[in-house]
Amino acid sequence: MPTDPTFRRARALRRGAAAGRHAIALLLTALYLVPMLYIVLVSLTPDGQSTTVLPSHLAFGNFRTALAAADFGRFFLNSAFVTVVASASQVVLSCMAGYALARLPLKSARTVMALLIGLLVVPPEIVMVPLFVMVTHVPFLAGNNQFGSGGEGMLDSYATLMLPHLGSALAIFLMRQFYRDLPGELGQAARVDGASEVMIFARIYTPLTLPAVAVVTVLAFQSAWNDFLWPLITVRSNQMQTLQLGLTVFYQQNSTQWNLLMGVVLLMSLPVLAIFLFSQRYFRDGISAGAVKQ
Amino acid sequence: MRKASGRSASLDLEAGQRRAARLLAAPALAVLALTVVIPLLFAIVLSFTRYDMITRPRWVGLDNYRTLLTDPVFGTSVLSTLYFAVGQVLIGIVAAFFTAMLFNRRLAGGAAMRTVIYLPQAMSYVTVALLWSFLYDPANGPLDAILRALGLSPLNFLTSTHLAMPAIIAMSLWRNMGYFMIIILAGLKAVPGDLIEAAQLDGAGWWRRLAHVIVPQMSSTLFFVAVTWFLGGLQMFTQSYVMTQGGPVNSTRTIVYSLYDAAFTSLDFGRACAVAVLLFLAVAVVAVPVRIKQQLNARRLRHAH
Amino acid sequence: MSAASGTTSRRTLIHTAAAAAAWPLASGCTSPDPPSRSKLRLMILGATPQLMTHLNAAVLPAFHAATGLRVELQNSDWGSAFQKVTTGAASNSLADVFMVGGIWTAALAAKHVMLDLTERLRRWPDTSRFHPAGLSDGAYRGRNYALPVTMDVRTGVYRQDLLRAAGITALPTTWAQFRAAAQRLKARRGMTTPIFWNVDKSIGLQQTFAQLFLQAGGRYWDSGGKAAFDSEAGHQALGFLVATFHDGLADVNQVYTGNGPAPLTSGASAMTLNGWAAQQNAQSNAPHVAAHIVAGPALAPHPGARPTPIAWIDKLAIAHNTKNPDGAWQLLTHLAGARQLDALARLSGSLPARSDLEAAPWLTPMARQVLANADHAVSQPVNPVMMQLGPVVQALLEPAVRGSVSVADTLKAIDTKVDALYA
Repeated sequence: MPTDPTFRRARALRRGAAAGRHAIALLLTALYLVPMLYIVLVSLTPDGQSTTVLPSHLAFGNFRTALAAADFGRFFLNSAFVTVVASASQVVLSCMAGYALARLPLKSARTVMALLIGLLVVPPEIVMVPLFVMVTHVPFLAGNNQFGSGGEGMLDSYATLMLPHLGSALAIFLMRQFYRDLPGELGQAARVDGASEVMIFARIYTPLTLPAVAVVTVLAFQSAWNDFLWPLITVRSNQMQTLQLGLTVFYQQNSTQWNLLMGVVLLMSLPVLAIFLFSQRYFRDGISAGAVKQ
Repeated sequence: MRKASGRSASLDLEAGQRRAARLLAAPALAVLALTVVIPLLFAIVLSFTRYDMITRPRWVGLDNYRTLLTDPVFGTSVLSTLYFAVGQVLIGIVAAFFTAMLFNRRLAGGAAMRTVIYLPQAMSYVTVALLWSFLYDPANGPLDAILRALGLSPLNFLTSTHLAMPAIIAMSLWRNMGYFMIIILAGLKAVPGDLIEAAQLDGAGWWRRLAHVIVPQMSSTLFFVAVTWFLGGLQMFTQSYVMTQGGPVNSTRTIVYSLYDAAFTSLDFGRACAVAVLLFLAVAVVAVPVRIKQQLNARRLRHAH
Repeated sequence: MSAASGTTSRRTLIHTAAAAAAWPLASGCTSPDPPSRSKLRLMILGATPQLMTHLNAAVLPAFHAATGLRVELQNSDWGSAFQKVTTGAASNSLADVFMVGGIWTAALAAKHVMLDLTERLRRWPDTSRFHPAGLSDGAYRGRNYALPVTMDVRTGVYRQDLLRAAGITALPTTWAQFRAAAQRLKARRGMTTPIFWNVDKSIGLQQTFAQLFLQAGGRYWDSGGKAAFDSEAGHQALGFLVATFHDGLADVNQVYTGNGPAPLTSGASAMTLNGWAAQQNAQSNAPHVAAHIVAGPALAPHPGARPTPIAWIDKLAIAHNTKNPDGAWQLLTHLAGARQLDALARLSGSLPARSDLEAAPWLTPMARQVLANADHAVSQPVNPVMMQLGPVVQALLEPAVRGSVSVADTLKAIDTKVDALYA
């Protein structure tokens, strides 16, 4: 058999195809890896050197210089606080609402679902302007009178920074899809044992939705951590700045300090990367559940 | 007697469930109402006014819409947005599909490579846009330096009216492809293996298996990816803001860029809200029928089972 | 689903619930400090880390010791600064004292964002130390709203070493000489883009056109308030500009993105209309080149015409809604006093707008050349639509320098668009 020429040709062809596939995959990966490594290289380039040739030496001191350029410790805490609270709120709220929509008799469930579907497609930029007007006109806050004018309202506060990320129609939608596909018998059995509805939600079903929770967490974390436009227009003081805003310290009027900028960009991406890699397995299952099962 | 108490117990149960449902759903819906629904309604009202936030809003009826719809620059921004959204989806869906096919086979180091391709998704658009404006930089960027080293004339990625948008599309594809690749990959894994085997036994080649078995099986996933990606594309802003400021000659000015410009450069919040309302209507025209169709399909499927 | 992952999920849920419980606490803390009379806010734009340190460590503590007023420092990049100021004004959260960029005066004054400083300036003895062009750049309809602090004056700026290598020893004084020098650089040195016209991704091209237009004696608006770009001066200026692109002396694709060495620093070009900023860029990217970058005389459109240097002036203003106008004025005059302004300019990499600081020892010879032009410099018109005008004109100039729209059609289109800004 092994001497059969057609068989040998087929095997060689198969091997060739496999090698070709591998080569393409490697090339594709390089297309992604090279720009990312380039950020690292730029961040280590000494001041005043060209970024189109290899640097004369690696300036690890850049990171220290960059971090000393502004109060990045404070900015990190601001970003972290806003992101953690907003993500937590989004996860808890969407679990609750997703469960209610999927597994409980909600009188207006159909209307709510239609509304949610409508909200799924509202770009955050659309509500940004009216939301800005609203937060500056909250009555009785920071110098505002009962009609919400005169002062600066809720600008420059953690609450305002978190506001657009507290809830998400997409998160509720994803959770609902996930809860819906879980077996109903689990709840029935618990009910017979006398468990309350809230207990059934919190103790029986929710622990089974880990992949979807991972998705919602990562999406929420990412959107809050990476937000730029909303902090840009609502933050006033230096001590309320987030990391994304802090980056602008490197844009000078005449030139940009790219090596320092890239250094901070690199450090800033680490938390999101860590969360990503950590939750990747669940993430894959969860994100595709929403898409494939529809 | 027993029967009656049974009924009341089930009624109690039902009432308890309803109460729990309201309790669980209310906070999320309240938050959404506050952060999305009310601002959206507010935007609609403001779009009929002239408002700079400093003086009181003045009712101007349809003026903002009339100005926008007769403004050729706004027309250009609509076309540019469509160019971006359609271009990215068409190229992206093919690229993501074949990449997913590639990683659907056993491949040494496949998981690691998949992760690398997926990583840019974790970076913010601002970061990715900064990185790519650096790569594209005509004087100090590596791409043009490589072209020059090869003896080719440098490409004016961000300064040519023809290349700027494709350059931004390429950059956006780089960031987003991994995410959609993962979704398609999950869809591919769900294609029943026996269907493919049967086609193979019938002597169908790779191409015919792809066209007649795999793609039809994947249609709902691909549809989902196309619609989501397209709608995301309609909202493009950060890339233009960071990389080109809408230029050259408005070739990368998008709808949301116009919105931002109206609101925060001209302090014309009324016009900005009118842009927002128009964008919302456009998105709704695409999205709502699609979602309803999906719901109907899902219901039909459930009934069929 | 394994039991293990179930436990993880429950733990996650508990943690997230705990974090959510912290939410009402978070929402309670709004602004770190409510604005009050004994506390002022100062917004500086594009401050370098050195300037921030200097202000926080030396200037503001000294000010506190002298006046009892505490100052909170805010810093913003230039890119988003105008939005910060306008939205700040709109929401009553603008800093008491804030920086005002080149063409912002009228846009802000027309919306009553700034406090009228006319009377205070009249009584302040230092007022006469500031260049008239600087003071008028902060005035709108006869009232003063902003005090100049730093400035740059744009004239012809050259790489003298490259010019000399091409055999050019006298710096151009007219447009014709400017163009001839560029042609010589191209012919003798093979330079592909001898002129860099400050093209960037923002409105650099429009700023260049504006300088040429003002040099040619152009006025943005005629006496009847109609846009007047489609005039003799407009044709001269745009015709001159477009011809350099058409004849291969400048290139639309040569765009400076604020990234590393600018064209003069790298030697890709040898001539530009700029000021101190050109040498600054060399100092931070290629120090050995810096001394070769010189400021030439202001250019005249033709022999015998008046040469016109153009000034870009950054100013300080006081918010109209400040709770403490007198304290804010104290802060403003403290910062604009000779000693403080000297340090402020030096640390922010710009030139002081006070005439008594023109001989400061840290100024390079080039900086002094630039400041020597300050007295007869002209700045952009003070008009509320200037902020929108820049991007509108820029978008129309781009096709013109690419040769796809004629000079005449471009100027007509500019007039139409600029008039529409008032609608």
